[in-house]
Amino acid sequence: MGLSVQFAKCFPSGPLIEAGFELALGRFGLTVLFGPSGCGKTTVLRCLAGLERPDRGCIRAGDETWFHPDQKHPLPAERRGIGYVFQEPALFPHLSVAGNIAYGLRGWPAPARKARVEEMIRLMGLVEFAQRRPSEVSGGQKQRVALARALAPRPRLVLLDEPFAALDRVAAEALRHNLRQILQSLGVPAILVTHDPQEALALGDRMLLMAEGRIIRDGAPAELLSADGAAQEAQLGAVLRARVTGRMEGLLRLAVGRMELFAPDPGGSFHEAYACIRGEGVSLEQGPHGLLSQRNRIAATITGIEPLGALRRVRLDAGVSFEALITTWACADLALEPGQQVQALIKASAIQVIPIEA
Amino acid sequence: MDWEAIRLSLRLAVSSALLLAPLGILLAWPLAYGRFRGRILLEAISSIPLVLPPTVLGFYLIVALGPRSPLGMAWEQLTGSRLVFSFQGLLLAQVITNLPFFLQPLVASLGGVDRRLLEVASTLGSGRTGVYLRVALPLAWRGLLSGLILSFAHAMGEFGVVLMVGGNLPGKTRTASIALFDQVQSFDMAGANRTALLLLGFAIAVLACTAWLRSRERAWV
Repeated sequence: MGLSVQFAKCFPSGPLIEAGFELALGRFGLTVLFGPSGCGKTTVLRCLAGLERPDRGCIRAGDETWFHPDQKHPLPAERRGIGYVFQEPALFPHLSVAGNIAYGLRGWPAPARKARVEEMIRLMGLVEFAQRRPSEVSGGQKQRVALARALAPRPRLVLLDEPFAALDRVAAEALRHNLRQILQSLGVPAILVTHDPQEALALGDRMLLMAEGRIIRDGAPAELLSADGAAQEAQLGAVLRARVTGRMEGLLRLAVGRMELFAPDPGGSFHEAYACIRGEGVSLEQGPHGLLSQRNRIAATITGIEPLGALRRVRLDAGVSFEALITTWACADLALEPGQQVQALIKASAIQVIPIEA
Repeated sequence: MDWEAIRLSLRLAVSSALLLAPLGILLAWPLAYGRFRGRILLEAISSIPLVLPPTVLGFYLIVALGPRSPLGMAWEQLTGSRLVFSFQGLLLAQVITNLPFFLQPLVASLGGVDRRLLEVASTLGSGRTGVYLRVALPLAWRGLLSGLILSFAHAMGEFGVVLMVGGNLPGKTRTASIALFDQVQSFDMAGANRTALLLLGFAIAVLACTAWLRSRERAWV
C-alpha cells in the first residue's frame, strides 16, 4: 500500500506550496523533507496530517481518499492513522507521561493498552518518569514522550516536524542517535522535516528537496546534497565532498576539488566528509590583500549574480561550485560581474563538516 | 432573618448552576473554536443579559414564558400549572440571565488553550467531542470553575428579573434579595442589614475564590 500525494495549498498573501510524491506505507523508510526555513515543509506535513486543507490536488493512501477537491470534507485527522510530532513536544499538561502515551489508545482493551504503554516507555527509556507530569521532565525526555505518544497507536505513517529543533545539542544528539533505530524496530515509515544537512544525511533513506514552496529533487540524501547545484537551488549553500588531508589544533585541513579549506574538526576518525558552506559565511575581495583572520582564501571566478531580497547571491567556481551572499551595496562597490576573478574568504567556523563513515 | 427566602435563593442558585453547566459547556465550544458565519451573532445573543436592564429582560421573559406563549401553554398542558410566578419559571429565567456569567470565563479559558494540543489530540484519534472533553475542557478548568462560581453568585443575588418573572410569593419565588427589598419597604432596617450583610459576605467569598483561581499560574504542577 502506498501514499500518493499531489496537492497545492495557497495562503492569502503568502507563497503557493506544492507537493507531489509517492511513499510506500507498511514498512520502515525514513524520508527527509529538506529545505530552508519558510519554504513550506511544515505546510506539506500539516496537509498530510489533515490539519490543513489543500486547495487542489489529491491525497490517497491505498484505496482510501484523504483529500480530493470534490469531497465536501477531507478525511479528518483522527481517521488518517498518522502520528505527528511537533517542534515543541506539546504534551498534555494535565496527564502524566504514561497518560500522554496512552492518549491515542482509547478503545484498546485495557491489558493491551497497558502493555503497549509499558513497551513504549521501555523503548524510549522513560521507565523512571512514567508517573511524572510533563513539567517535571527535561526537554529531551518531553520530546521522547511526544514520540512515544505518536508511535503508540501503531500509526501508518509518522510525521516529524523538526523534532530536535527545540532541544539543546546534547539532548538532540541523543534522540537523533535513537530515532532511526526506534522507527526501524517498529517498522513505521516516517517523514522528517529538517533544514540541517547533517540530520538529513545521518537519518534519511530518501530526500525530498524543497525550495520556494516546491519539491525540486527526490533522491538519496548523499547524492542529492552533493549533486552540483542541488543544495544551492534549495538555498542551503554548497554541500561539497571533501578529503581530510590533515588535522591541527582542532581544525581539519580539507581538499575540496582543487581548493584547500580549514574547518572545525567535529571529532572522530574519518577520511572523507561533506563540507557545508553557507553563503552568509563567504565574503569577497578584489586585488592585493593583507593579513586577515580568515583561514580560507580561495581564488574563484564569478559565474553568476542573482538578486535575493536585499542581498545578491554570487555564484562562484573554484573547481567546485559554491556561493557568497553579500549586500547589494557591496556588490556595487566591488563592481562585481560574471567572469571576474575574486578572492573568496570563508571563515573556518562557517564550514560545517559532516563525516562520511567508511 | 427570612431564612425561607435564603433557602430558596440557595436552591435556585444551585439548580440554575446545575442546568447551566451542561448548557454552557455545549455552547462554549462553538463560541471558542467555531468558524461559522453566525458565531458573532451567537456571541452577541448569549451576552445580551450582561447589558440589558433586568426589567427589560424580565419583561421579555414574561412574554416568552406567559400562559399565552407556546412555551407557557406547553408547560401548562404538561404539568397543569403555570410557568410564570413559579419556581420552575424562575429557574428558567435565571439560567438565561446567568448564561453569560458562566460562558465568558469559560470561553476565554478555552481560547487560551494551546491549539497544538488540540491538533495533537486529533492526530491521536480524538474527534471534535473527544478533543473538547478530554483536552480542551480539562485544560480550561479554571474558566469552568470561575464561570460556575460567578453564575452561582449572580443567581443568589439577582433581583430585577426575579421580581418581574417570579413576583414575590413567600416560599415560592421570594428570594433573599426580594426579602431585603421587602424589609426596607417595611422599615425593618435591622433585618435588612442582616440580609444585606449575608449577601455581601457571600459575594466577597465568591470573588476571593475566583481571584485565587486566576492567580494560580502553574495549574498543573
